[in-house]
Amino acid sequence: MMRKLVGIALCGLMVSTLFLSACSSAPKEVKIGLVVPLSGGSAGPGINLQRGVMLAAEDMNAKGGIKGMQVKVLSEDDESNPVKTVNAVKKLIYEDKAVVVIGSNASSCTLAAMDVAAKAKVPLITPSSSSDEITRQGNKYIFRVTASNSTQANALVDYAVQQLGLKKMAIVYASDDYGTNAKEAVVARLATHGLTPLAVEAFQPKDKDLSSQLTKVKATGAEGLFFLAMYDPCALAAKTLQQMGYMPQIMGLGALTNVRLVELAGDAAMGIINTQMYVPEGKTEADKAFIEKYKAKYNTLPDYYVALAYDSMMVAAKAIERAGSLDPQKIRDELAKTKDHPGLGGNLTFDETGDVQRSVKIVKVVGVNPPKYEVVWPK
Amino acid sequence: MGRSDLFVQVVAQGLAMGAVYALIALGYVMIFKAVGVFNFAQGDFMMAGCFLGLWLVSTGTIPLFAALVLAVLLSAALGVIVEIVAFHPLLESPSRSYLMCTIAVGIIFREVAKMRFGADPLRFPNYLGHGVIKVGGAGLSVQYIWITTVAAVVVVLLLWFFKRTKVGKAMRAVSEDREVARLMGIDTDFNMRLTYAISSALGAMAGVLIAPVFFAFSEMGRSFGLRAFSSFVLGGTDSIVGAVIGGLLIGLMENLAGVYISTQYKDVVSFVVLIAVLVWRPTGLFGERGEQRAG
Repeated sequence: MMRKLVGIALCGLMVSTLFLSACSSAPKEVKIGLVVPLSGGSAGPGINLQRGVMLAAEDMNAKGGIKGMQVKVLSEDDESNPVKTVNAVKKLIYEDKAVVVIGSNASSCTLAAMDVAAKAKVPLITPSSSSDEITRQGNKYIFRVTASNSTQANALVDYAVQQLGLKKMAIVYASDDYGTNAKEAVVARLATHGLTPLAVEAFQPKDKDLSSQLTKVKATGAEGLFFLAMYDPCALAAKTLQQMGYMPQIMGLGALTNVRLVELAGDAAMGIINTQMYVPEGKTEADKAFIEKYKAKYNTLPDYYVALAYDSMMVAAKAIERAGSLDPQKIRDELAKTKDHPGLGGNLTFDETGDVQRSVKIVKVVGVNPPKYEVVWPK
Repeated sequence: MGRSDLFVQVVAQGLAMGAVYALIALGYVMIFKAVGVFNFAQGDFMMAGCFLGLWLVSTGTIPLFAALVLAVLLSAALGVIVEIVAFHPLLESPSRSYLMCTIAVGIIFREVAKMRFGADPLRFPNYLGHGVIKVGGAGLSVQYIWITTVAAVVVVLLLWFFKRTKVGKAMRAVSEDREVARLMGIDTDFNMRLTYAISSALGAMAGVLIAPVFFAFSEMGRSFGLRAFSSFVLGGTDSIVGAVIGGLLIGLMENLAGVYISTQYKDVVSFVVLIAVLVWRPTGLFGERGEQRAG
């Protein structure tokens, strides 16, 4: 009996402190939630996304914050596990009272967490999830900064057919959310050019031997190979193809642009082309300043993850500024009006589904030691 | 590429992969013959050998081939140390304890590798060359030819060692009956250590052979070890020749099924064949005694 009483009293105390803290005075800071993989296999991209958001927040704060309020970023690690993404987004929204959440990286994680954001009526901005499904579900609270798989596939297929003059195509894809969606996008765009791929082969993301798939591709004599997966299996594929004495033009969407592709595959990676949102070229003043600040802090060049995350944070900050309020619903409405925001990799406009309208670059591996990329499109 | 060229390509790749499975499977056979237990850490000994090689190469002070040979020798030493520290105390315990211990050792190896080298695959120096030999329209990689050749030489040496040398004969005696062998004056402890040294060295050889093609990563023991385990069961668990034939068959089936049936079902096909063979011959293709419990 005594225990029960103590329990009830403790509960009462907890509720009242929660209530009191919620009623405290007007906010002095803007809380932005961030959920990305900071450990596990996708920690590399996740850490760069975090750096991009942090850098943008520091830039905003150095200029006096948003309407005098300092930006505070609260980071959560989802280990690229959709269940953990959902829990992290719940925590960020309900406990930490974030007004905007940025994340996550893997499409399957973002897909899982979108509904939580919509239910809480808090906008979720994904910097790097590219599956078309994300903006096809009629969710009013999701915004995407990277180009979708379809947008990237359109640019890549058009380039391959019109600029490179390739006609005999084959596809090898990872049988996960990303790879399957990317395959559909490429097949659809090839069809508009009157082309049907000669081979479409899947592999399990954990497979370590792609020789059967690639032998089938070789047997069709394809000139172009769309490799729709992460850079690790692509490095393996490039080496396997080299060993077969067969060198088709390897092409990928977004996921292939990583120094590790070149480090792992060596000279087998030469000539691989890939769509890209951002390349540290330093062509604009803003980009120059961004590259310098990043280099000074991390002693390396920023990659597209850093840039996408930086742009996500800046788009959110501008929307909060325009809304003049910390009401997530008002911020969402302002986010939806984002038009021609000068992002690091080009102008960003959100359409009515929350998907971005932006230009897509195509880069090519032109050097192995050290790894070197060149923008081949737009010229 | 014509039909016959495609066939040549598929068979050549299948045999090369099979040779790798066979090398790892030989390690399973050695331990099974000696202790009567599956050593689930065998694949991880391969991974350890591979990372030891990578580490020695990265120091940059030792010539590449010396580093690789040293990595294989160090792996043999590692096998002996693990036998003394972890496995030997359990030799007289029920076989399930021994089995669990091999699983635990595997986990420890993988986690240590992850802590030291990270979870991402790492590039391994390509010492086998990029050459491709054209046979009609098929391209046979020099790397695959090396892998197959080394595996063949190792198997011949092993068979000779067991049939002709005194130590080899003693090891066979111990695997027949440890107690009787001990009473006959054979140093069974030394024998057990030698068994682990050879089986880890076999794993390490497989590791440094395939890493230039498949990279070095902490989970490599699991992905290749599972196929090697199938080869070992298919071959009959206690036969050296069986492990080799089993490995080559699994490698061939995988590649043939992938190309001529569907890449989606290539693993399914090899496992269906494995199960069918076990139903038909429970002791595997070349097995004599099937599973036998340890002491």
